[in-house]
Amino acid sequence: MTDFIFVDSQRCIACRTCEIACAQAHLAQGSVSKTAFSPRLNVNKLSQTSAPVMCHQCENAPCVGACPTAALTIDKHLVQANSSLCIGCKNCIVACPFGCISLEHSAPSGHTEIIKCDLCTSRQSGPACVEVCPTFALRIMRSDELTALKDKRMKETGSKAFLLHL
Amino acid sequence: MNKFIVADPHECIGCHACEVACAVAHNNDLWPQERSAFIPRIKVIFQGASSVAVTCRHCNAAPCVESCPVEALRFVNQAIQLDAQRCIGCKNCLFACPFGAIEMVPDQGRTATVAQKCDLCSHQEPASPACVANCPTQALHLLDGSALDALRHKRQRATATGKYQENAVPGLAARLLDKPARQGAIKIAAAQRKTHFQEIYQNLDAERAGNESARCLYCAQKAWCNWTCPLHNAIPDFIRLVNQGHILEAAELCHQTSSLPEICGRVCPQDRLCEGACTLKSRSGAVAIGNLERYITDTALEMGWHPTAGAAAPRTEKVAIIGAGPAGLGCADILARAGIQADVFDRHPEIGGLLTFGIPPFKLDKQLMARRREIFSAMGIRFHLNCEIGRDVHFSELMAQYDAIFLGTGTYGLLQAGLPHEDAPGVVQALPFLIASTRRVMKLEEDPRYPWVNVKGKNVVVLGGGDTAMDCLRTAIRREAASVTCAYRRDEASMPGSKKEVTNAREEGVEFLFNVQPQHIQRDRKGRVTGIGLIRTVPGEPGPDGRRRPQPVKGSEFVQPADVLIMAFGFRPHAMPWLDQYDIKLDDWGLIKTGDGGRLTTQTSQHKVFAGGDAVHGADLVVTAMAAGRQAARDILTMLEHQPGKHVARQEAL
Repeated sequence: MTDFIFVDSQRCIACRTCEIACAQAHLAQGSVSKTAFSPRLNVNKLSQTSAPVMCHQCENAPCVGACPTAALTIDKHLVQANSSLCIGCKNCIVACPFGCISLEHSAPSGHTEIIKCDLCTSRQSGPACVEVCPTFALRIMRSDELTALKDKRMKETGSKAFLLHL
Repeated sequence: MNKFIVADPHECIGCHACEVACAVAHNNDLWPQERSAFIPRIKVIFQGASSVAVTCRHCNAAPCVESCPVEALRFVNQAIQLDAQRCIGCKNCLFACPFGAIEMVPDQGRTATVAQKCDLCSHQEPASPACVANCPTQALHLLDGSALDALRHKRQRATATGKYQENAVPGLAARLLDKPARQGAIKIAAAQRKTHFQEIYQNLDAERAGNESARCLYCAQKAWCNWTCPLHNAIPDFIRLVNQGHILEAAELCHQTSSLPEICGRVCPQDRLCEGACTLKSRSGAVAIGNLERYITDTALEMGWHPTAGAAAPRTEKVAIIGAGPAGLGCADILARAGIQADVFDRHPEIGGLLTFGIPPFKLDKQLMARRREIFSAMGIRFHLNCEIGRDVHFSELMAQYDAIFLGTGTYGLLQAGLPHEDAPGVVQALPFLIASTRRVMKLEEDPRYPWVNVKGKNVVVLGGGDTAMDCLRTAIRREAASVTCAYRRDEASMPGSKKEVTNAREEGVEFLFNVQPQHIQRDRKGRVTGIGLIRTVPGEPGPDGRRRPQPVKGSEFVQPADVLIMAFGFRPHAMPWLDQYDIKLDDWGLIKTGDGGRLTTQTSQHKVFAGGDAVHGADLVVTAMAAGRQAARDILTMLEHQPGKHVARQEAL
């Protein structure tokens, strides 16, 4: 199973620190500015709730299936993007049910960059958004943790089921 | 109100029949091919001695449905159904479900991982959940709105009248579980049995077999015991036939799934397999399945019955089988029943492989293999014994003459402890020691490859804690050693072999040293072994396999006197250079690779060569080797069906 970032919207205060950390973490040099700002997650501030949204690293990801050039592939831990193979067909954007993938086209070079969460695999300390969130609303959920959670719940379901009788 | 399945915990006996029924119902009524493919949608949860089955509640306002971004989860006909084709594997539902009732599983036919949950067996006509239908105590119920209303009204009436007595009647579970204690086979007393090499367990008599078979609960036709058996023997059914007195029918049934049932009944570690899975195990003791399996075939053969190849029309194809161990015999059995000529080659003078030469006679009477050789020969299988590939016959000849070849060569390479002076006189390897002893019991002449080691009056130490170590220890006892000691690096609970064998060894006078690690071999001036330097250990951190690595304790070194030191660390693959020229690929450990790249599961990288047993999966049980050999035979039949023309294979070989 892939890993993904779990969002607790109850804790989110819409401070957008995660967006800045993400954009900065994915900048090769310099620091973020109005022009150089491409976060892989977006904080949605709505009337009732707020939460950052980002790629779920789906196991059977529609974006991977829709990509004609294998610029998007699934590996053991996440959906990998290889921008050098991207032809900018935009299939992935239309395919993703979460709206969590986008393309950035730089006019002079003709280069297209796939913008999606990569779980900060190149960072030693893990995802930048998780690290900076002041309210601990973000958490990296590894596959073994998720399995353990499911098993724990099933066990609890069992202990509750002992109270039933027919 | 959605329908849902709920278990009555007072009636659940933890037999897993629901899990098995679910897994089979969702696999076209077949057993799942791999152990890892057994992912039922209902699970039995244990709490101490109690158990209860839990599954999806089909919530009316289901969090899983709400969380699904692609409408793969939907309300359909008063249930929540998953459309696996739509599932993108985002795991939202898994996280949303407060019951832990959703799982991510590999999708059949696709390489994707998708969600899986209870579908109330909606694929069946008429839709009726397999778990409910197969629960032996009727603990599982499919409830809908009206059933819930009826339950409530019944309870309200009881409340109003103050009469709750209905609940006090002991249920089906209590009546079903009311069984006498396990009897099992009579074991010859230790003092007597250690003086000879005859089998230590007596065959059941008709009365004991009747009593033991009457204890079986018949949890389900496909029960936890036959799922746990690598061959999926029809255990509940053959026990029922014994109980009805239909021995010949039981023997026929045993032979449908197994090539050597009376052998498995003797040598399988039942406490880890079928009997370990018996619902009665922690109650009045597991049904003596192994004893019954042995009883059925032994009795049927005594009655003059014998298995036949059946009425299949003879075919023109020929298959060569290398190795007459359990894998090779399993393969030959299936092929002979399909009408194919099976020629079995083995370097030993008798069939059976490690069954004959590795397993000591007190666990398995060697007459049995001779009897089996006659049965198999009568079925049309040809045996070429004392015939070694590369010495007496060349592999290339087999490649040219046969339509398919099966490699059931086992693992005869020996593992070393990595200590200096392992070649000193008095240090012997387990397998040659056992083979030499067995050859002597069988009155065969001594073979220089397996030199006879006399342990009479000597102090024997065996390093290792598996079944092979137990065999060496008990052989040394029977060969009148002065003292016999087992030195194992972990504690008793971590021993990999059968608990039954450890008990037997202890009864016969074996001393055990647990949590000790060998450090050096002590020798006298002539270089002969005089003892083994050991250090005590404590369990350390668990390794990647979950087993704790022993950590030595400083200052706890001691020397255990030993005149003969037997190394029983297990087996690894041996070299088979004759495979190289045909590009048959091995893995890094030297095991034969099968099944990659769209091949059949037992097919090697050379398309007409198949392999199975220890040579493929590493040293394991007799029963797993036999299961692999039988699977290979089925794969060979598939290959022969799909062969465009026989000459193609011949050309490739040339």
